[in-house]
Amino acid sequence: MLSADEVRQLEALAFGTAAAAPAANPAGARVARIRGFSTEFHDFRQYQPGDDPRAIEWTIYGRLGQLVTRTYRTTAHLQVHLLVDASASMSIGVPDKLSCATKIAALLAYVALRARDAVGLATFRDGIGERLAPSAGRSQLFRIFAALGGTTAFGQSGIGTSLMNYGALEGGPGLAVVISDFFDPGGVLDGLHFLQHRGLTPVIAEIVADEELDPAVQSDVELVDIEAPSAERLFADQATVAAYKAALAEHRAMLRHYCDRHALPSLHLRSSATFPEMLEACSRAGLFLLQR
Amino acid sequence: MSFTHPVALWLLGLCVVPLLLSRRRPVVRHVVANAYLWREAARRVAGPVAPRRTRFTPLVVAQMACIGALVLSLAGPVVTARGGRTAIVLDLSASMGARDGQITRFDAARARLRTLVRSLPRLSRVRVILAEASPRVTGEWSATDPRLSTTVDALTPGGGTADLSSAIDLATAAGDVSRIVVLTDSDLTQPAGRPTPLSLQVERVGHPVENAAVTRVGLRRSELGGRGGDVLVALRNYGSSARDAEVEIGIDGRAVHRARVRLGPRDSRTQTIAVQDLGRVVTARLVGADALPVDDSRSIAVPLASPIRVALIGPGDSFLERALAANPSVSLRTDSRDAVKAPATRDVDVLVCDRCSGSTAAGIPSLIIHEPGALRTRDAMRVVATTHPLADALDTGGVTATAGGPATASGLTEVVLRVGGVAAVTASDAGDRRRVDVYVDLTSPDFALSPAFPVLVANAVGWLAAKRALPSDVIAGEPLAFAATDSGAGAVRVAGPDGRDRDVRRAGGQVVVVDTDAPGLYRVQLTASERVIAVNPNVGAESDLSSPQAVALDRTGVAAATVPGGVDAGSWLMLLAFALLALEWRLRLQGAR
Repeated sequence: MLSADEVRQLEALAFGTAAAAPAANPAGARVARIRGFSTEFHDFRQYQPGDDPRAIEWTIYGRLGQLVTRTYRTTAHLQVHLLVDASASMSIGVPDKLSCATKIAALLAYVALRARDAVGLATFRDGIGERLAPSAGRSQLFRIFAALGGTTAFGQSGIGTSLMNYGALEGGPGLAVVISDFFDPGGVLDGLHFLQHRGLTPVIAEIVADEELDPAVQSDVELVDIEAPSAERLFADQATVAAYKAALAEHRAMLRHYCDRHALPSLHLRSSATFPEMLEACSRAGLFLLQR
Repeated sequence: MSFTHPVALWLLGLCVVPLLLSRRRPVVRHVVANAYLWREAARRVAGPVAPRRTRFTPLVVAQMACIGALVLSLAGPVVTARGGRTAIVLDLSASMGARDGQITRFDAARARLRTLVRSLPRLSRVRVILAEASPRVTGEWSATDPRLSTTVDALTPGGGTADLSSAIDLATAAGDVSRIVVLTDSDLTQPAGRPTPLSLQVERVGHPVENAAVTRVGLRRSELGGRGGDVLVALRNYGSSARDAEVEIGIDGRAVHRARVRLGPRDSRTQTIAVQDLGRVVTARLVGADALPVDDSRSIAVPLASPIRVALIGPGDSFLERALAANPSVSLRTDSRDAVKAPATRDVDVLVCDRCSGSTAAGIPSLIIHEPGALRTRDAMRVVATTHPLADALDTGGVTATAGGPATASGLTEVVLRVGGVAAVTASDAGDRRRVDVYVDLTSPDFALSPAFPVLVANAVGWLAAKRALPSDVIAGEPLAFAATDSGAGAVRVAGPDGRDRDVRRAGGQVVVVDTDAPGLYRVQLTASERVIAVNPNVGAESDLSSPQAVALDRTGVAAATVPGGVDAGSWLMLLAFALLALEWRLRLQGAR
């Protein structure tokens, strides 16, 4: 999945987000948002029934007569969920969008697993297809590479439904990197919303083919939906192409607006993007940090 | 412009195929990842539904034009400067009345004639020739003249055969016919080595069907002068499967007998039915419908039972007179020798002149007994013309006679009996009059006393009287001829079964009616009486509907008399089609680039 040169470029990178800073605790690679039990003090708060009596700050109680408990940060692995769209529409483009999607999934998995994060993988079409539960370790990398290598594009898209199904199977916290073209007439925003509701932070990796951005429709042509060839026939000419470009721009703008509104990382790639362009896009989205 | 094969014009419908194909599927199909954005775009451009538009692109137009030119060339267009003249030969034979599905063969031919006329240019002239036993030109009109349609509508097939060769000759007789179309159910073939001219177009109608027919009706009186007799009916099944037929015998339109007959495949059956009173007309009819109704009925007029009126003139030879008197069908009247000068032809059917010195009465069939001439020979008598009616049942074995006729016969005279090297009995049929000459010495008893003598006299009287008798039945299309009496020659009228008087012609002493194509009863009005003659359909080839009747065009006039009245545009259109094909190929290459 990754060449030696590409792996060398990934060595200098560390997976992270703005909300996930590196931690020195050897038990986990990152500091979790939740409180836990570790040696690193986090804050004080009023005692609540059920709190561990050992955490009561007796010196404060002696001075002020108030029961105050100490809270500590806990350390945990970051869970990265790679959700790869494998519907037939991903076979469009030169190279096809699925190749680009598997490349991104592979490099994200490599970087995350190298940092001892847990990485899971799921392919989806109109439902969840192959699924690997999040796990850390080198063997998980090979499992993910094998799964990605065996993925082929077919079937109809059901992105919103698939994300909801995945949200029902896996909960947060964690990152859910959705790699897709996000072409779903049923809409994808509900699925992203449900992932957020389940504590997962969606990362949108949108991949489009060059010919989708600039269709090579010169004269009167019949359009065939690759996911529904027997659907009602549709014919297009130059005027339709212009209207299509406008509709596509609106669709992509809607996706960006959602990410901006929810402060979600997003990357937008052409299927013909090179490996450095992929890394740059990931970095721009805040997925990678330069490791010191 | 006219077409040699107008049926091919139906293929012009193929011209819309390229247009339909261009509507059905565009030249380019484009696979997209999603259709809903495209559908949204189409909705913005052309509303909720973006129908496929019909586009006459140069490629489609070239394809349509190529197919059109190819089809037109196959139809064989003939371009004429002034419309030209088309001769249509319409078969009116009996078999054209055969049912072919819901319509008859003639209806199908008439429909094709109308289609053909509609396809002709407005200025074209159409000559319609009716192919009957005697073909005739019914008229010539312009292609748009309503009289043409009226005339064709009034036509019906007859009961006779069609002389197609003569009809085609008649069609070309004008010399400026650009095209001949023959509408027939027969299979016209051109003899080997004689190519069919381009302008001769045969449109064959009809399919093979099964048929049965009454092929013959005969009569025989049970006794001379009696009313009863036997009716002989012959039936034939022309089909390939056996069938039950019910035959009905009618006397003067009244059914008197019915019989059921089993007819095997291609089988004939004969029935003899005894009838007490033969009446005037006997009709045999097949009950039930079959493919050809016209041959299911056949009639015969019953000959009158009156005796043959014979006038004997001469000294009165006892042997001759006795031979005549012994014949029960003869009413004998003896006359003096002078009566020959003023014969009462109205009252005499046959004149027997025994050693008359003067000439016999003109117009009366006569039996002349001559004095033996100088070449008297006595020898055995022998029959020379064995098939002649005079020799019927005549046994001259061991009979010796003395005769002195001419050594050879001349002209229309035929020697029937010879004695040695000279003629003993001769017979002549000059058309208007029959005559039998006997050169035997009747005073010598050897021949006059033999049984052969009264048989010869009876045969002679019968043969002579038959010339003046009306025929009982005639085959449709064949001329109806009978001898005209001197006094009533101008008053003969013949009315057909449709009540229309037929054209009566006179040839010598005979009355001839040619227009007998319509089968049925023809009424012959003579001066003092009316007789009925049955005209029956021509069975045989006309009734055999199992296969088309093969007719060979044995005349040579077809090609010679046909003048090319137009230019064959088929080859030019074929050339145009190939040019358009090349253009289409070029347009397709340009589109591929």
